[in-house]
Amino acid sequence: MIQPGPRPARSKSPLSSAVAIVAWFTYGFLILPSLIIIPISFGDKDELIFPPESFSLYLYRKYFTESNWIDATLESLKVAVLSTGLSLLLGVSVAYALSRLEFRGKKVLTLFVLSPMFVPSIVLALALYLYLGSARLTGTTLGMTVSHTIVTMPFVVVTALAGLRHIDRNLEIAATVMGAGRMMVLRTVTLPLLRPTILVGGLFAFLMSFDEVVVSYFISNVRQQTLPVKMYSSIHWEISPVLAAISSLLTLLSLAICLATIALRKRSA
Amino acid sequence: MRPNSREKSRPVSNSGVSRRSALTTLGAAFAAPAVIIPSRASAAERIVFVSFGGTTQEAQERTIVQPFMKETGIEVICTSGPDVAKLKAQVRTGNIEWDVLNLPGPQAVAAEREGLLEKIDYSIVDSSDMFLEKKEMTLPWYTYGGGIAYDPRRHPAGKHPRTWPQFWDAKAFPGRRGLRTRPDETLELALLADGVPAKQLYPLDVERAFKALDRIKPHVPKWITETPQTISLVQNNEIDFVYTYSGRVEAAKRQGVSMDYVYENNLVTPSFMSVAKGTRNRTAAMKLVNAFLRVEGQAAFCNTMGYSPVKRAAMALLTPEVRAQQPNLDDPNTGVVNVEWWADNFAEVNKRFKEFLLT
Amino acid sequence: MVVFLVPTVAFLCISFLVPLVVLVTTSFGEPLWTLKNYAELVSRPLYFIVFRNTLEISLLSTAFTLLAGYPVAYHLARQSERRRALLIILVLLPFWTSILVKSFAFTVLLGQNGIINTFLASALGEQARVPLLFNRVGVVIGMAHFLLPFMIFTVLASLLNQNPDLRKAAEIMGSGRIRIFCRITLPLSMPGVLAGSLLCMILSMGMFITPALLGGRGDIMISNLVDFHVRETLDWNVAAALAMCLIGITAILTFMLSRVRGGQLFDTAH
Repeated sequence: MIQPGPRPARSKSPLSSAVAIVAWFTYGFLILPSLIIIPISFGDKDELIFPPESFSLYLYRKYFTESNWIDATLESLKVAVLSTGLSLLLGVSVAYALSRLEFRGKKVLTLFVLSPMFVPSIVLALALYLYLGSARLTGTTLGMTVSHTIVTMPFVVVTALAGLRHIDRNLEIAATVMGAGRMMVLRTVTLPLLRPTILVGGLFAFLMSFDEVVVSYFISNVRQQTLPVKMYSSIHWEISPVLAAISSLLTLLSLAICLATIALRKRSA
Repeated sequence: MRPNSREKSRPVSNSGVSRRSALTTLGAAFAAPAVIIPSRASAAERIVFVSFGGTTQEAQERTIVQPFMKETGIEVICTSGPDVAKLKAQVRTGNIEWDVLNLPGPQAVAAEREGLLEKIDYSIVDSSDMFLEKKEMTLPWYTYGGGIAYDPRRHPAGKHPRTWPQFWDAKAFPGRRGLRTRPDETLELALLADGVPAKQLYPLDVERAFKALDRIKPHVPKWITETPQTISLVQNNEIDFVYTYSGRVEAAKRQGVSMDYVYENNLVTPSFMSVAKGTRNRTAAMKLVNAFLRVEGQAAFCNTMGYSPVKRAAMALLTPEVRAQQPNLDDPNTGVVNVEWWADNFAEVNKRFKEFLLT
Repeated sequence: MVVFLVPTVAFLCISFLVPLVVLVTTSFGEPLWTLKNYAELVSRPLYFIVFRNTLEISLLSTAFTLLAGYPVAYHLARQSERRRALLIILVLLPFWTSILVKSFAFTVLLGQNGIINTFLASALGEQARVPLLFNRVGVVIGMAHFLLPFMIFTVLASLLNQNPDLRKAAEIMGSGRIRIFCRITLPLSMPGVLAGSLLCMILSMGMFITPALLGGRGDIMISNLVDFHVRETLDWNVAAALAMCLIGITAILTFMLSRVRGGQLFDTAH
């Protein structure tokens, strides 16, 4: 199994061991529910039952064959990818401008850019539904992408602002002094330094869009349901155990993608 | 699944359907060119039906909506998650997405009062021979009973409450209770427990109900918001006695969950069928509402889900097993939720109920 | 430079400003222009208690998330890239599990007769059972489980952005590890800590399904009341007024966080 493992000998200070203990405690806490949900997903009943009395692929079969679960998954992926792209584009650029420009009213503008995340989701959902409904944009990919971008972009802005604070301005200044244009500096200095931040911001945007339920419920229509909307649609009566199969599948899928990326990187290295 | 129950109801509905569907097939053959060119007429014959999702909706679609589509040629698109706020927004912007809605009682009445519903066209909808009164804009089409559920392995006969006064008696029946975070139904239970006769619940004596609730409060570790938890908390031994619905318990039992339900001293809630104001196809929508009230459909649906039909004639078509699960409306100990009273008082009582929970 | 500002501001003006204005006018009962929707909010203890609860729950969840999450970010920052990628998979797990099934799993784990309490009872006796569910502890556990990735990744990004030479220099100068952490690593990671805490605060203020499933009877959130007015009483004016108060409080919190020394979220001064 994975262990705290080989690290430089000098890091064996009390601080590091304390950190490692807390860290592994947290890792354990994060995994714990999955250890219950994965066995549930192999049950053969139409209720959540732990531990299952017998094991089967019944719930997985249901996911792949019944009532448009796959369509909803694909719809979620599509909206998440589109809104992540848009959020990154808009969020990183506005964060860049806000961190490098000085002007009156900057604080107010910053708060305005962040303000969508202060609005309770049910109210944002209703307001957007009335607005997009008048424009006949509900139930369209455009309407959905725009709504999700409003929800996710502020999170990109917050991470990007934090990341931009770390970048040594002297590097940018040096490049400018050497005669590089602003776009050149941005492309060759700032953006590469900002890479971890952009990755994290993009990850947040993607996952938040993928999990978003309230706004999606309002903006979606009959033909365009995202996965969470479908998951919550029967909550007043039951929780479909297919959700356990979906959670387990997504977990395994993310695991596989990560492992594949690591393997590929190792080969190319 | 109870295949024989469905088979029993099939001959009744089939005789009518097969003849008509033969006609529609013939009609379709003649109309073939119209099918190739997607015509306006066919687009108009499409309505959207929204209901609660999950197994309830699957049963509705299989027993009522699909036969209806075959018979009339009207395309019904089914979706889930009815919500009065979304309906209000649709009516306000004229962007009508739903045509026919299955709504829980208080919400249906709220929608009616907000002017979000069409008048039911009783020249199309046959409302004769019903247990419950019809309304101008919304129509009860089945009822479901709520009562006490428990795990028989932990609480065999005699060790669990059978009535609401017993449920409130923590000395005679020690155990953890589960009630809901909604005042509707919960206040009724409190009054039943306090000795109010089931037929004289309304208008609810709110003061008396909250006094009774104060007595049970220490014995309720979890006030439940979502119905699925009424099952899962008993299943996982976190709650001993819970208020939940017979259909939900029977469904869990069929899946091997150790649970039982008391068919005594029940509270019955109607579920309503309505048509959205400004629907694109009023006639088709009314026809669909009518389909939900037809005796064969009612029986087939209730046989699958264990609910109660509103048409008296449908009672005769229930399987003996499902008939045993019917709350008896004539029983003096069976209460029926008055959705009109709740529509008048919901906002105010609910705020007070939330304060009761918070303190 | 303005080129980077215009598209985003234009996007928000088109897609978000109009709904926002509608929200503000609705809260004043447009077209009647009245303050009665705000008066409703002070008319009874309900709203005050719920606001207080919401703040308490969000602060507690954020603090717990920070305490549990910072060590993970620190631990991750010191791993090789491959090991880090592997461990990140663990951190991401909560995102793939819907709270609807997660709440069931938490019941199995944390309940009075759950796995943890059964273990405690068999090891230390019946009196060792601790209530972990259907109270504030349950809410904080449930929320932190969702929030942890947000905290961990934001802090991790700022730890990875640090110039390792600074630490090396301090080491050569003979500083102990704890001193280096307190004087260099921690202060330099403050932008990440603040950004992460802000994200967690705001996310937790908006959650109401987790408290409904895992909390006790008093764990009602302000979003819950907004939802109640939007969907159940259809009183959108009061819902808008409530939303305005929530927006006000979060904006103030954000502003306060942005002024914390060392972390200046929105400042450019270096």
